[in-house]
Amino acid sequence: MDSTDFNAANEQPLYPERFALPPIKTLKIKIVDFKAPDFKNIKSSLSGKKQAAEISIITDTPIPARAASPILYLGNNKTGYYKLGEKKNEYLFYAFDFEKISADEPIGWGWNNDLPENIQKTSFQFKIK
Amino acid sequence: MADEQVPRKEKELKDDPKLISPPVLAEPAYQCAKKVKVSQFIPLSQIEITINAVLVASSPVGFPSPNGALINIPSALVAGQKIRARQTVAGITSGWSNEVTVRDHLVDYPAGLPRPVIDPAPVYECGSRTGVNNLVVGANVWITADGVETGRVNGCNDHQGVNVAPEYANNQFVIARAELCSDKSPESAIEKTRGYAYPLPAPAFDTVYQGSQQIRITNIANGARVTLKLNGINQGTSGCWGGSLNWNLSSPLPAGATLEATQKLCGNQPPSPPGTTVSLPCGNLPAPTAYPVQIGDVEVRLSSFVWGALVKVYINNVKVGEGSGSVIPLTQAVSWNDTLLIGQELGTCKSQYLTVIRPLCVAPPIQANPSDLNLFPVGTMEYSRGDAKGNVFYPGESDGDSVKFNKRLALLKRSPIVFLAHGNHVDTDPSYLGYDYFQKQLAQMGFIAVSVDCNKVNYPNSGGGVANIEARVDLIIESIKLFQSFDSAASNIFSGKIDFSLTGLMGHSRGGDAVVMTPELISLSGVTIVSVLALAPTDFRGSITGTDVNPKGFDFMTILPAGDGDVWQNNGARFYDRCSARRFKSQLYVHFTNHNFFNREWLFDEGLGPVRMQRFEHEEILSAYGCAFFRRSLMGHNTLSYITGHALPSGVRTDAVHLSCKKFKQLTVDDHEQTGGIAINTMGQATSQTGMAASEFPFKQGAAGSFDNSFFGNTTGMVIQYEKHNATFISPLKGLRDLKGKEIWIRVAEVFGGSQHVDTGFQLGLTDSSGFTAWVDSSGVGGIPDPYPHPGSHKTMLKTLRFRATCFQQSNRRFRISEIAAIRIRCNRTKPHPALAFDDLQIVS
Repeated sequence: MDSTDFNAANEQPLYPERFALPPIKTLKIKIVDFKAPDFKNIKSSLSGKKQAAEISIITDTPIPARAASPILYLGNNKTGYYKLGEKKNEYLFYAFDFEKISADEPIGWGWNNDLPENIQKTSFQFKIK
Repeated sequence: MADEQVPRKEKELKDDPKLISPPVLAEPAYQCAKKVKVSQFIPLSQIEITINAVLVASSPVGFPSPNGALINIPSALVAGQKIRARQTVAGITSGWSNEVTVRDHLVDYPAGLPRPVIDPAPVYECGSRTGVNNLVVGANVWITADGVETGRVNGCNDHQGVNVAPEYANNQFVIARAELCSDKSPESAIEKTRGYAYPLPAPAFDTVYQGSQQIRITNIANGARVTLKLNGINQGTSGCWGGSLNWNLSSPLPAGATLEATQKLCGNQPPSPPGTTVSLPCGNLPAPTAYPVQIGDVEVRLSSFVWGALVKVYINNVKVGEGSGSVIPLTQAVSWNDTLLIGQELGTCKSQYLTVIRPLCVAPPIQANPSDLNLFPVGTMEYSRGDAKGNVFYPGESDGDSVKFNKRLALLKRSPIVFLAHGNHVDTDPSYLGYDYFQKQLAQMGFIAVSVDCNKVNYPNSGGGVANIEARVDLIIESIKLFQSFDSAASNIFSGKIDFSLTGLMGHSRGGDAVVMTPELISLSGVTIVSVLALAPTDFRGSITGTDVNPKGFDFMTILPAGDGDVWQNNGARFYDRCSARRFKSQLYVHFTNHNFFNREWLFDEGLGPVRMQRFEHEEILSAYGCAFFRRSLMGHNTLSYITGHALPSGVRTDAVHLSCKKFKQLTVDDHEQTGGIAINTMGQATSQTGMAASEFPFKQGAAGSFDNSFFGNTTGMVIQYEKHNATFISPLKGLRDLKGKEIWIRVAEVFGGSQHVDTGFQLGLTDSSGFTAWVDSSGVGGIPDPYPHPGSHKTMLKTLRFRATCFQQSNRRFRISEIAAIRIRCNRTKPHPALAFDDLQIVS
């Protein structure tokens, strides 16, 4: 037995439902100039990217914390890089090869390790404004 | 599985009364000691000790349990002397024991004696005896309370009870220390005495039988005095360090004798209620049970036996061992097709049943836990400079915050350093504190163990995708840089103390992803990453961008929780498959474990599938295998055997650990990566198959041409489907090969076909130059586990089976192990036949 066994929170095991992604309430896409993350010791793999399709989503509730990463599926393209937006539950995802994404591609929503059948379909399509 | 047993009366045993096993002489024996330790002797025998073949001591002994006997010798041992022992009982003398060469303890412990441990702790007010562990045999050990010596044993055992006088008062600071050859150990950790939460419990007894002359009393408070009565007659009072007490009686017990024990600590408190037991008649004496035996073993290790019993071991009905205690030395090695029978006796009383043991080709012995190496006090320090934050555990002069670095160790050499990185979690929790148990263990053995605080890039600021892994890499490197500055500073705890050419990394979850990426991206001068341990890692590059990650240039281990409810695809399997390691790579697929319980700050069991093991059992797996990994990789210790599966760490749920391992610079017969498909092996030889459909497939999720969707690695392997009994696949070697002393390693798994199978397996055959084939069954080398029932997916997770060449050699005398022409896989199980997946067929030295 270790000390954490005495923690009352331990009596509430986390069930998989906790990993459910919240529904996307709004989604907007625009082309923006892109600045890659600035690291002190390494070069970002996104450092060559100058422009991106910024996909702003607002979800019902915050995205849960877990090891896996939330992904916007733009047709067959996975978009994983995001940062927090300014609004509540706003997340800004960035798609880089957006020219290759067909207009009106359906947008899916899931974790990077979801099986294809588990990726949520959304009511949104890839439309750049 | 319960041991098979047979009634003794059904066997005609040849019990040569003149054959008794030699005792076991404990290793190591150190210079300056005036005692040597002997174990596994027959109770009440006479032990003789020779040094350089001259008889120097002859001494009667009591019972071998719980911890052998110390024999006085007339003068202090000198390095290079050779010691042996033998025993005589009832006029019968054994052969000589193992020979032990005396060593200088500074060879094994260059920085001085290991640190004593007060064990068991805590220490109670009024305690009269204290256990001290982690000692070297023959050293002097003493205890101080508030700085005053209150107990001493000159010439101690490795775990020694020390009587203290006066009894402890409350709130005293108790310390143990040891000395050998005028070399003093570090002080033990301080134990502060405390009052016992009375009332004391009633002592209990292990089952006692007619003929017992040694009994074990349990449930004893640390330091209590135990009083024993036999049929109402007081047998005396003995101090006990706590837990249990083995008590030697003056004569064997009759059936129906009543034993009663009480315990007492402080005089102003009542004694415990009495615990009682009655000795059972002879007919109740059970057979001892034993751990699995493998071919070539020269001893049998017992998993249960009656205290003080004489244990006899028979091979094919002929006695080959007679001793006592937990290990019985044999007079001959166990061979192929031998049957071992084991019984025990108390005086004239013999167990009615014998345990039957059929030796296996591979049954690794349980050995010391690699995380138990405890040499130094541990200093700790929080650090924070810019983005470099975290804490560090290191070998200290004493325990405590920011204490000085251990001077003796620093004089010897710089220390290897390991950086740990946690994964994504809410940033309000200090996730970096969650591996403190592992950091402490690493520091105790001489590592500097740094846990990097990655909360700057944790939830809610974690962001997603590969960039978040890069952000973690950046933080890891920032901490490495900071420690470089500590090392080069004129005045710092770590000034000149760190060997960055021996840098290791351990990362958990997204941190595991990051430590695999770090060696690719780091460009700090003077830093060489030698070892990487990825614990339940994500693989964002693989799963998001579709990039194959190819770890290379370092020793690699990944631990994959089979019940992981988060990284459920066990992405580390991809790293393992693609890794081109420096010297070796290792994968532990661990049943009944989850993602979180390796980190003490991650409280929730997010796991899926069968009930997960307890948190401390998760930690023991990381501790044992992680320490074995870093000790081997960064310190050169002899711990690779735990990683290859040649030894099992004690105290660990090894039954749940399924190892894969690949050593480099070995002879690969077939890794299925060559061109030419299934028809050609990696040696360029034409394969053949009969009665089966064997083909090569990508063992990767979503890959075109996959056998099915149950493969989560990233390699190419072979899947065999068969209907015909004894369907066979033949892989010829390039030229005849001498396999004497070698092993054949192959990775294998059952491909889940919709139902579990009770008998999945195959036979591996070696064909010699004359065309003769010898076979060994997979069940004799550990077997193939059922696919783990993870609700997300049954995975085809391969594990490495090791077939020792000696097993084939012993199966038939005509067989020419020095001239092997081909390796065969024969599928001989009854229907239904699940498909079998194979990879990495190697001949290993």
